[in-house]
Amino acid sequence: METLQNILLGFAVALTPVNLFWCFVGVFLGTIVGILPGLGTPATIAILLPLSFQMNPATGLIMMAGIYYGSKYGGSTTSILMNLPGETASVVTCLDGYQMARQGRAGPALGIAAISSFVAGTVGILGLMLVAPPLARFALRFGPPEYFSLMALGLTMVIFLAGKSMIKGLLAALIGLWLASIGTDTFTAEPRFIFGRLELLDGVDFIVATIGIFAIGEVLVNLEEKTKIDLFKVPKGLRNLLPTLQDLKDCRFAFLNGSVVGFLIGVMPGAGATIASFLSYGLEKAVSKNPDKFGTGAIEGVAAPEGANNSETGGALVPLLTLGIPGSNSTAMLLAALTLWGMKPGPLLIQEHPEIFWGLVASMYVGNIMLLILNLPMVPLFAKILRVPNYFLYPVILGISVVGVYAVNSSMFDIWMLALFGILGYVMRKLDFPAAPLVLALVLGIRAEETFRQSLIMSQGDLSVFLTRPLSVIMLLTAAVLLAIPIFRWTQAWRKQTASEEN
Amino acid sequence: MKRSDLLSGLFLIGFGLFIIREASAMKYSYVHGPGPGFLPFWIGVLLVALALILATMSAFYFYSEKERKANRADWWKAIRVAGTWVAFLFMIALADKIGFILSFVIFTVFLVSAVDRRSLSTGITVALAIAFGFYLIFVYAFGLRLPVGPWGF
Repeated sequence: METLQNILLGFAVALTPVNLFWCFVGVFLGTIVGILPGLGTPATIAILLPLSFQMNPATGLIMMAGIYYGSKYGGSTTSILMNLPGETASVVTCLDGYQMARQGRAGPALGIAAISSFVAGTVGILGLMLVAPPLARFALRFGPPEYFSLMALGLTMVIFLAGKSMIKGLLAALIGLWLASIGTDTFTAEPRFIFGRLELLDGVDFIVATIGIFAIGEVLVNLEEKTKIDLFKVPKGLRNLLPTLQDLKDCRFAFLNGSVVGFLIGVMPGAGATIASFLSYGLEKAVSKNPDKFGTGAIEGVAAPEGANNSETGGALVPLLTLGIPGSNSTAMLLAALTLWGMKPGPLLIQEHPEIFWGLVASMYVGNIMLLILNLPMVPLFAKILRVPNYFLYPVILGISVVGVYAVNSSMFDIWMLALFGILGYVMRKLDFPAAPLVLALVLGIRAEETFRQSLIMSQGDLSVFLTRPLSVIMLLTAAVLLAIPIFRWTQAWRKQTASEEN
Repeated sequence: MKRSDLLSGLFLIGFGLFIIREASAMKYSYVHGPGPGFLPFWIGVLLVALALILATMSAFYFYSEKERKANRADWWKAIRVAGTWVAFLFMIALADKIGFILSFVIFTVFLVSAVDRRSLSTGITVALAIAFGFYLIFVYAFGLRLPVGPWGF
């Protein structure tokens, strides 16, 4: 009853014309930011912070949050249409989304991304509203061993992203781990593999590596086939651009998977939308009857990570608004905004400023509907990008990549790194090395090493620390089960082959 | 024998050995737990082991006739990719001297006219249109700072 009263208060705040207008501005800008690779959400929030000081804090937060979750919708667009992830969390959407576009199914891919984002985003807000306090308490119980086990669980996803060759997938993941180890060691401040370049002291920028490997690598591969792809085939008519009933039926589990995984990962500070999208993709593939379809244009491979990516937003706001703990760069910017407006993000925020917390929750419901309306009818418009000839498209992709990477740190060194990762992405494709395990390991590597070392310092070098804590054991057991799946499949395939040969 | 796997396997063995050598110069462990050299050392060891398996397996791979035809080296393709990448590097180097917008125009003209074999006029039109769009969106609308040349853009 109390929750109902609170949410009614929230809608009274969110549905005022001023808040509706700024909510729309936020989600619209967020969509654009998501589409533009490299132009990140934290940077956009930072740029707009001075403007929001003129606003009432509730209005400002509604707009800022709109940019945050709106960018999650937009991030899938370039992943699907150009194999260029607009946001880091949309990297995994490239795997099947781009393949769908190449097969002339760009429309359904964009449509399912929007629908899944809406469904999971709404579930995420429900989660934020209903289970915020107890879940935040649960996440607080996570110590370094639990975090390490979570990272280990994330790294097992490599086996689902390995493609044709498991060895090549593992090698790619090891290169990703090595890239993650570049920079200053957080425990001893000792530089590792910086090759005399001070720019590398902060490590390899994930955005630079991702855009280089995916976007530049893709352009170089496509340049080889001058006459092969001049124009992608785009289905005509809105009906053909939207997912079919069968597509929606195929994605039933993906919607649920994305919603739950995304929200739970979101609640854990530091885990982030990228891990959520990779985990939900891996889970979707693990339980699929046709895992071979993944990576070749499986619609579930778009729905699950996109859902997780959006549901994570609701989860990530839980520790921010109830404990004042930001779990990502974007929520850190929201924390900065709240502090600058004179708020004290923490357990007392909901009690002292109910109109801000509940107004934000209600505005997110409204914003999600706005985003669905914005994104679904605009699917044909986005799909039209595919009609652009390659000789126009490729310079645009290369140019946006350069601008996006430069915008992060204003560093020419980052652009040189972009070129280096571009050729690495090209070579990996030519030699059939999958790029996704490298990116996954790069994301998880730093945190995995940190938490592993913290755990051992905590236990004075005793490795059993990972096996004596229930949450850690559960996650490590899940990782072990996931690792056993391909071995089980190989054994089954080998048995079948032997039986057929004997017959 | 799958030559590409053999070569990548050999390269990765070398790369793994390099990582092991570098990691050996770092502290492997402290009193309680691993030091900065711990993770890189094991990355190197695993790289060498897996790359060795890859290289060995490549020796037992036999191409089908179809694969043999598909894998035949096409030097024209390689030149096109290498040319584009080198031009991209030139664009980066020039961006610092003459500004991003102008260096991007030169790069795009090369990409459209030389790599994609369109007419020079198409190349110039496309390059100017995209560069103008970039300037309008990123510099004018978003207020991003891009490398500028002596002309102020």
